[in-house]
Amino acid sequence: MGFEYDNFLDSLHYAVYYLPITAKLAFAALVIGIIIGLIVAIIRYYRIPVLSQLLSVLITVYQGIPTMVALLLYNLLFSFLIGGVVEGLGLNVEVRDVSNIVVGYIALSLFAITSISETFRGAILSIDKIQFEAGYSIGLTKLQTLYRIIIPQIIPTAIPGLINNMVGIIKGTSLVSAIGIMEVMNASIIPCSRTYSFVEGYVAAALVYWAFTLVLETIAKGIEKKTKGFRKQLG
Amino acid sequence: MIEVKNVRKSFGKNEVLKDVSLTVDKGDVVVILGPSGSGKTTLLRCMNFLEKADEGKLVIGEQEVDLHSASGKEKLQIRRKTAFVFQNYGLFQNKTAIQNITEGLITARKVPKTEAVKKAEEVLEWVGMSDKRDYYPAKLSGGQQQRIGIARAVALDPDVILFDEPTSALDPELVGEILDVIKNVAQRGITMVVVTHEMSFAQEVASKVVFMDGGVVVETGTPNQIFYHPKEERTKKFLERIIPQDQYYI
Repeated sequence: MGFEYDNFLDSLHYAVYYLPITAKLAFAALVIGIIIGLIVAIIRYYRIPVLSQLLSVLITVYQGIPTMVALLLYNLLFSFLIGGVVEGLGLNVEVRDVSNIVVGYIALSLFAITSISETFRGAILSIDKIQFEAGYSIGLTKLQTLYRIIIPQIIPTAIPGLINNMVGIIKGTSLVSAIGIMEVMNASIIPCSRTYSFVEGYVAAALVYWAFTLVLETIAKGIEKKTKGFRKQLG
Repeated sequence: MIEVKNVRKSFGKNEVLKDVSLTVDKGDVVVILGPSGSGKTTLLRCMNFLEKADEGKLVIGEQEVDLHSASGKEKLQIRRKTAFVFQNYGLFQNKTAIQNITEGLITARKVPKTEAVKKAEEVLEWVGMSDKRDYYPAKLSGGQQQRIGIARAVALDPDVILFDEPTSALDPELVGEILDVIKNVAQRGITMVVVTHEMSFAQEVASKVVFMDGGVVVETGTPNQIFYHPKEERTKKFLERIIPQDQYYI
């Protein structure tokens, strides 16, 4: 098993070229995960009847399904349904031309929501109840108390967990290569199919994922420092 | 005038308040005394909907609300007429001293920002915390935090301030200075209901003392009546344990 430097550079070039697709998948999942995850965490914290129990069951069940399995299932479902959708909308496209990237978005977002909602729930539970009570006592509404008092306090607590979630999501994007979406993982092995030597492709992919994760982690840590200025201990 | 009528509250099988009523006149300083578990704090918390009573009514001025089934809007109206001082200060950790005070003015009462800041600076000065204006609570001592907690309540200009054991979490040597601040609040003519274990404070400042035990109001009267001429056996026993004998028989 030799390591051809030129092939490696070739792979790296392809991987970097498709990084925007991976980044889009990761960011979309992260943003959807943070927004819906926070709402889910709040619903569960307030124990809103029915909704809270339903979400709790859904999350427990969903967390037990590997993302890969979910992805393959959704992809099957997608290929079953897409024909009907195209026909129903009267679109003039070939079914095989419709990109299944939407399957990647859905699977990764659901994964993000389940994991991020648990991070936020832990952060809310760590807040002293008196912070809510003090908000109510000065005449703030529940919503005002949430976004003026509680959410600013849970962000710095949640960020280490969120970084962890984010890294998991970025790594998770490589799974969508299994349903044929062209992103960093798939792109990096394009040259390899010519040479039948895959080591260069895998190393290139690893390098790109690592660098991407590192950059985002650094940014997130910067945000963490900024948001926890009100705490006694820095660092 | 503030009236609390027939409040009942149970935590599971434990009946904490058994039909408690209370009247507070404008400018009154009502001190609620009683042993631990007598329901004093729960009563106070019910008055601000921090605890949901099983039964009972609250009248503040013209407005009467049901303590059990008040709507969100009614709760908000009552809370905007009252202020609460917590045992553990309850300052917003993510807001500076002055922001803690302006928050209720700007966000809840829609007071213009410049006016709110002016008011906040005034009360900060009054509790002697002007130099800590931009400090976060985590950087302040308990005594300093409670001064801001009191300043926050006073700045809201409420019909009544509810104090829930405001000195219980403090170092013994800080208790005196916080009690002085509260005395100052009383001298401003602000109506107050104070739950405390500080007997000398009750004697000195209260216009009315309420003695509670086992979820009922045992006795109500002026400090003089309660401390020196208690009618009920239970009150006498409680005071004997707390106030040294010689002082009691003066």
